[in-house]
Amino acid sequence: MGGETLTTIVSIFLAAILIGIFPMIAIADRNDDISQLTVQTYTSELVDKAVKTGKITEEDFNSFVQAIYSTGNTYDIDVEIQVLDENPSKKTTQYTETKIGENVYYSIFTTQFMNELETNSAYILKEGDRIIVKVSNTNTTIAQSLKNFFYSLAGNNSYSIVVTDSGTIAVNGG
Amino acid sequence: MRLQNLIIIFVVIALPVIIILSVYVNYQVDTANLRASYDNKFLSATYDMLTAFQLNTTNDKYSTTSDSLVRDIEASINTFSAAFAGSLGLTGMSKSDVMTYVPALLFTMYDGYYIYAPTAKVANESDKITYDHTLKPYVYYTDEYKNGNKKIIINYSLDNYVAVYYYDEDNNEYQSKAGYLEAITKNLNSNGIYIDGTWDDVNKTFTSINSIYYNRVEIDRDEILIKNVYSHKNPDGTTTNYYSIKADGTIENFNPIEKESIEASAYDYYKEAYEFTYWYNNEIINKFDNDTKNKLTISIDNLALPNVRFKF
Repeated sequence: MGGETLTTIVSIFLAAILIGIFPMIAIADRNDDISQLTVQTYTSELVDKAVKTGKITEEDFNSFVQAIYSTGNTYDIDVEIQVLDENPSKKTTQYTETKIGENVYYSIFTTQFMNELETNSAYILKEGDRIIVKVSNTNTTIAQSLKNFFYSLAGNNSYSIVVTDSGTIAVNGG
Repeated sequence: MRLQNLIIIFVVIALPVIIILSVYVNYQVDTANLRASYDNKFLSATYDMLTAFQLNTTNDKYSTTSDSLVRDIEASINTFSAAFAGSLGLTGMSKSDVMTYVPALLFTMYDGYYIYAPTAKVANESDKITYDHTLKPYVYYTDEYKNGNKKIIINYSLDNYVAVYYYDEDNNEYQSKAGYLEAITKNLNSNGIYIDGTWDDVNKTFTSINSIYYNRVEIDRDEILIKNVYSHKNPDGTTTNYYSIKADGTIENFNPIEKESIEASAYDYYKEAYEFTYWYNNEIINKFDNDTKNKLTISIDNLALPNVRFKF
């Protein structure tokens, strides 16, 4: 009798795992993959737009933020803009004094970028500048929490959705 | 044994196998995704490099001189390393760190190439050889063919333009020419260039040409209008054509010209290509042995030309 009860408990436990937990882990993982793909697509679109038009408007950026938040996660967006510093004191006998890839770049980071965006409703870039956008999730997704429960490997700062994209601006904005 | 027990035993055996297999498959999927992601980042860094190269050369009228070209290439290499590091989220990575993962960058130009690859540096006092990426000197697409004391050097390009240098040591003969190679034919119904005209065998050129055919299509000269003609309706109802407006906006009355120029670039090209190919085949390649002749003679047989007849 005791043996039968133990067998019953084990079988219920196994059934719960097989029917409940594993499919949930699999679906949660797929969900994370879909979110990763969605965020990758929108990030590429934002960078492509900046490359082709030479500017990022507040409207573009806000719609980008809304689109990535629609995946159901919260994200940390890091924007770095490497501005081409044209150094006029460089001595040269050639026709063009500055070439893209040759000069010093100075960086504008997220806070400065957001301030400029709020003040002027757009951030104007020029030919040769570079834009780097990095997005990572800040919440714990279902897959992450399930994995933490089972594997206890994930630390506090691990992300499951990380996207980086960059581009060199091809036209002067404004 | 009861069915329940059997099921439990089956699950206990099968479950670990399933878990291990699914972990393995996940690793494979993650590896494929990561490889695709790196490929993508590499391609976009290459695209940025070429955009920078294009922008630099477009804005520079001295872009074809070698010093300026080297500067453009080095600038685009800097753009590549910065773009690649940026796309990986490692903007602080230096150029030499990025280039550790890039074996070589090859810039294929019209008639040669530049290569940016690791070069062994001169050994220092402790006898260690270090490798640094440097831009090697320009290498032309060139090949040399020898037959006894006859030698031919051909500089190739990405299209059918070649420069040929021929030297015969026995007769101390030296010839050199450059031009476009095309298959030539004496048969109107064959592919290649066919010219109906008077051939001067001494100077190896055409003294007069009636018609030129290429792949059985006649090449004609086009008369084109290159000046704008302004029509002005006179008070008496007639129309006068002018072809120039003065700086102050008044119309200058010249005789209307409808055929200002003759567009003959295709015509001239086929004539010059025929003469150059004739010289190449008959004056130069003919002097070599059969193996070299078979390899280097330009003819219909060794050029894969489509057998088409154009219809209009």
